[in-house]
Amino acid sequence: MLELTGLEKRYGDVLALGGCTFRAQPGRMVGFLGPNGSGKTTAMRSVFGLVALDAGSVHWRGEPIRPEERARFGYMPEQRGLYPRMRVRDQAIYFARLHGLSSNEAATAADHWLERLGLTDRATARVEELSHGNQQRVQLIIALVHEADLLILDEPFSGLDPLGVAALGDVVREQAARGAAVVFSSHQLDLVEDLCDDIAVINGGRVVLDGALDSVRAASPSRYVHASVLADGQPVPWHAAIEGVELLWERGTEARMRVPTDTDPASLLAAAQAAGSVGFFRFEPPSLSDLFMEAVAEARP
Amino acid sequence: MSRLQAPWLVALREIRERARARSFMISTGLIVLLAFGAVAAATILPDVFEDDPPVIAVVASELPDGVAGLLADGALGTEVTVRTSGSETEARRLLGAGAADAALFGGPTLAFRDETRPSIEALANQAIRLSSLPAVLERLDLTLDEAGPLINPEPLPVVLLNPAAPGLDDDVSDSDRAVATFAVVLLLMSLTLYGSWILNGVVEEKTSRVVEVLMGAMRPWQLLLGKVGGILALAVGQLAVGVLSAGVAMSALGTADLPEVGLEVGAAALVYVVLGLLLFSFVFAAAGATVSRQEEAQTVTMPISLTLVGIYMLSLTVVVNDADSTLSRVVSIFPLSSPLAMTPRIAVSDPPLWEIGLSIALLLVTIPAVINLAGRIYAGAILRTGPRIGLRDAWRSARETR
Repeated sequence: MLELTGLEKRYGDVLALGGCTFRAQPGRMVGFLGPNGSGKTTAMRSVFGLVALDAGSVHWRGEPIRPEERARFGYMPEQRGLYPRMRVRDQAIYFARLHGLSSNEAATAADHWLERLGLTDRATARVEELSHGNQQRVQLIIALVHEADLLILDEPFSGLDPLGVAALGDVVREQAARGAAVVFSSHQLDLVEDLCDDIAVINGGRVVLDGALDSVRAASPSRYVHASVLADGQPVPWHAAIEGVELLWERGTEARMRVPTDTDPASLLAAAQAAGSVGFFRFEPPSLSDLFMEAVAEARP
Repeated sequence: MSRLQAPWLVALREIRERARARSFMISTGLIVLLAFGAVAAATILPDVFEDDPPVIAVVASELPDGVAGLLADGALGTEVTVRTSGSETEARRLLGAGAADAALFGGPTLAFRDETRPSIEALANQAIRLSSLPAVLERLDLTLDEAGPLINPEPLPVVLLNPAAPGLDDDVSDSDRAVATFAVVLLLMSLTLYGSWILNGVVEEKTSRVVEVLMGAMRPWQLLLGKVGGILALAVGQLAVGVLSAGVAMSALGTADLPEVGLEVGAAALVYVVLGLLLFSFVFAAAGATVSRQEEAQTVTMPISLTLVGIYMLSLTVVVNDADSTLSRVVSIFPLSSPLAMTPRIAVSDPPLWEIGLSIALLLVTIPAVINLAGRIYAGAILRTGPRIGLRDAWRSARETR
């Protein structure tokens, strides 16, 4: 298990981390979310000792991380980093060997991953000759090639088309299924919702929400109603008189609103039916996007 | 994985990737050419610098017996080329045409073109005088051995009470000076060429940000050691190819009898280039780590390059011309300048062994200190992006990292 505890880091006047705490467990994927500049990258870099922390600790399996354990981690930094003129397969083998594989193992692993990510025919191309998407794949291979115990992926899917996202998402999911602890940051919340078991939301250098996605959802103080209620073809404000309902948006004939968890869905539906004809009515727990907005909004002063 | 496994892998990658590059093949080719050129030059140069022996047109039939022989044999201690002529007219013609420097004919008379040459004059006089010697000795009933000391007494020993201050050292032969100059040029080229490989290699890792991924798998000192080690191994390999080519060229050109100074200087140059590379390559690496863009790399190494060029100029002007002056001794012993300055000094002079030993010992002490300093600056700067990082800043942040 990876445990980040009370991480603090200042760059001059800028607070990057102000008591960041969360954990990642083997076999599970953590979606690490947060607005731009909230400290995600700093926290992820700290796992590799790339940041001189002002305070706090990074532990793996209950102990400070030793170099030989760090060699069993895989890292995909936010700013991609590859040798532009080195050939794809050579690069994969090189990094595999740096992470402790023998030269035979490294070659086998490199070939496996090139095949898996559809790069076999580009194996001898130089990285700089590849498209953005393919460079992204190579970068992921570098993180995966040594069967890491812990994967830290900083925005692994940014700039990829939906097919690429789906393909790489599957690959990362398999890593968690194999038993690796996976932490990945992303702004694509629907994707995180599909892939992740756990989430950690960081804002202003502090983790403001974390836990298993299901339990975080269940623990939310809000439920969401998405409905279309019409009278004479026009949307009616059926919810205006009900206490505790907060309108989030109205678009065309549809409206979305937030209600307290203890609201009875049946009575709400009855109120809607009394006001007009109900086209559709959904009463649901918060989506990840809702949770994110709640967490970030609460933390904002 | 042992702590040296990562540097080893880094070095291997460095060697493999660079050795494949076209620029490496070209520079190796140039070095082979240079080695052949240098050997050819060393073979030809002495002839260029040494004056041809004077030519004297001699009309032997009009002169005492033995004169032509004495001149031609070099028996008088000076080599001359004798062109035997049939008549005074022919000898004068040769002299007039510039095919001879002097003509000696009946009388006996010595003729020059427009001005006399005292050395030839003295030789001719001596030859005429000596040619009569056998007859005189016979008359006196002396053997040549008995007469020798009388005719050619041992010269008196000469001392100078106030020797002139050393200026341009006239004892230095032009070929030694050429060897020294060549060595200095080669040393400077090696240091700057391989230094720039290291510099660019470090900056490339920063600009491509691959260093971030590398630092996830190893520590800065491991990357630094592997990088510099790999490039130095290539450099030494390339220099070895140069030395080997020089050997091949020597046997091909039949120059087995290169001046002894050539071998001495070659050996010194090898020792000092390796030590100099060890000293400066880590400095280049540290400098590279403080910048994030290739364009800044030249600016940041300007002080190093200027220092090297300064020592180079000093070696070419002071050391080569006045190898045993205080300044020459200091720059050839001081560890920052000795890699460039000691080799030319060995070429033109004979520095005491202890001075050579001291300069090497000082280098061996300085190199680890410089590596330590450069390593710390490298570690403090390698992960920082953005504007150029000051040395003090890098030093401080090295203390914080890890």
